[in-house]
Amino acid sequence: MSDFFQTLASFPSLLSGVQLMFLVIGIGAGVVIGALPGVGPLLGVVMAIPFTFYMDPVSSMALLMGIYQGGSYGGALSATVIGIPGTPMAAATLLDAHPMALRGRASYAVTLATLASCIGGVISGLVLIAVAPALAAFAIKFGPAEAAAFALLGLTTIGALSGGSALKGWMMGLLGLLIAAIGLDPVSGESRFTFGSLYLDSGVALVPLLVGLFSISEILRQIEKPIRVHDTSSNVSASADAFRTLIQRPFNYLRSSALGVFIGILPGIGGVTAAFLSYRAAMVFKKPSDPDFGDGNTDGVIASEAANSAVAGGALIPMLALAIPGDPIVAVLMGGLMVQAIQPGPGMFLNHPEVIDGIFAVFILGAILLLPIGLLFVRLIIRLLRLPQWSIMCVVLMVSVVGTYSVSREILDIWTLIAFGVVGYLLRKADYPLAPIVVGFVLGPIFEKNFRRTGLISQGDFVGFIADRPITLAVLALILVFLLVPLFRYLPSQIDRKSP
Amino acid sequence: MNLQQREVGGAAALLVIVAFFFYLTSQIDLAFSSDLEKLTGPRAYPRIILGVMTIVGLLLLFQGWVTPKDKLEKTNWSDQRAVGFALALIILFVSLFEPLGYLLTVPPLVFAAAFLNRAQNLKAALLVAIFASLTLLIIFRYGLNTVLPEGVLAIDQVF
Repeated sequence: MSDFFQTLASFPSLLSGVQLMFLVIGIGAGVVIGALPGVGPLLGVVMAIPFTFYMDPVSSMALLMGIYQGGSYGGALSATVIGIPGTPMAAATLLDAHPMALRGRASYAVTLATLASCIGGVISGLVLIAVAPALAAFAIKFGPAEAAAFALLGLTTIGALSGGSALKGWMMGLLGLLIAAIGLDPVSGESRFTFGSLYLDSGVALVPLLVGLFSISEILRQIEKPIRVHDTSSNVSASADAFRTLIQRPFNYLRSSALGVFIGILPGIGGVTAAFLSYRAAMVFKKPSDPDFGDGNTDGVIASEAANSAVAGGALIPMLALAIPGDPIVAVLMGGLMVQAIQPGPGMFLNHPEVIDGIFAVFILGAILLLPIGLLFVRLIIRLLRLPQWSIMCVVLMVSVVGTYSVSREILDIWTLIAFGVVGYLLRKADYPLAPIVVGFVLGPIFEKNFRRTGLISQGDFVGFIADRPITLAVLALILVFLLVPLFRYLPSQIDRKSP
Repeated sequence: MNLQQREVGGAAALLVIVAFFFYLTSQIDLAFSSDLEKLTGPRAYPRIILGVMTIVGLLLLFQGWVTPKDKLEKTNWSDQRAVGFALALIILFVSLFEPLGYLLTVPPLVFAAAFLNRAQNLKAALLVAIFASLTLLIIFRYGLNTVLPEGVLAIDQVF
């Protein structure tokens, strides 16, 4: 516990002026990106990755996490003002915030959402600081069998819980593992799937893969199906009434944040589920004098926004302590650390404590800064919602292509970007999720290294070796559960379909 | 195309890719691998992944087979042509990016992308193309100290 308070007390000295500047830029850009329908925090973080090559690790995380936090909140602005959630996470916020705006209480709804996001973020940051080091201290004792099992768990859960078909999620996770296997073999140095290309010897680069899959495929999709731009009113400002809810409804803030953190820790579930579960929990505690849920209820806005913002801190816990990304954005953040030659996981707490402390400081300060940035620039951000969609997509295209090229000034990176853009576009059309590819890709080297070490240590006798390792057995049992969950969901639905 | 055809087609295409990669594994050289390494080594490891992918692919094929033949949204061929044109444009851009340089390739790419994204005001599209390209150039050159391809133009003389 003393470590926890020491970390908190050291925050002012942890961030330099430049790092703070990147955090502010990240939050500002994130709020705008989150508010714009069709862009979202995932695409924002992906587009920012090439720029982080020129930064120190903490500045890089400040920018990326700022976009993550700002983007998670930004979706609530468009949900409130134009009735279109900028991010899927803001769909629950829309239910009550938009009716409030329609009744002329847009300022109250926006302030409420900002406040709830800020509190959800701070609470999840405090849990992150308290839990992640303890979990890492436990996980540092793991051997390669446990590490491989945890990597497999991350891959299984993201497939099982990512929504839609679990089989498709797993197929995409496996595809990510396969793409990660391209290049020189890490042990023997033999070429795998390189077609004799020296460029592929070092493996598929992370940046073209990420930017191609998410950014280029989104541009192609929007050329096919453009998003309509809405006329908006920018007459929104901070509302003192919303701040009174801190005293009137503290339990909703706490309960929703706690739920968000818990769901964030579980890999693969994410902010959408957290927001809706929290919303449903708030319905249970509805006061008789309050408006109905879906008709401008204050608790509905608090519950969904506090929960979806709290997911971020929760999702960072398994990423930092176990190298398991809790959601797709965190998988990209993990990639952001890897491009800085930092391997997330328990070893990071020993080898790069300054980066860990920096991430903690960035997260808490980011959550706090969301309040002034969100409220001071709300009018400007809402005006940006009027920008025509084509101009946004043009900027996305330009930043994606030039940003990817700038990383290593290698034209083959842009060809890779296009290839993954086309793959991503086709997979989207066939309704395959793209996020598990990233999870598989970032977990691939960790899984392969530890899986092969286990094979060598056990002399090929995997079963006999694992039988003596209770943690590995427990994780494998959990994997089995996650493999069976979709089956239990699928079978009743088939029986229902066949019954008259 | 209906939903069933899409699902079966998608799974079949993935299985073809898996088979192709499986064939490629036979070309992986094992000269530097010990007998023990061969169990999980450079050839066996991808084969394990491909084996699991085959199982999942077959399950997806079955799942597609039992999917109802619901109608999907009709393909709009003019939209598909726009996507094809966008891809051709990006390929042309990549081919010319280094020889012609940033200033001669990026603004036309952005302008053409605006046109493909149904920009109605072409003057505004031209302005966005020029100003956004110059802003990004300045960010890279002076903010990130990264020189982008100058091609036939020497950017040092411009700035």
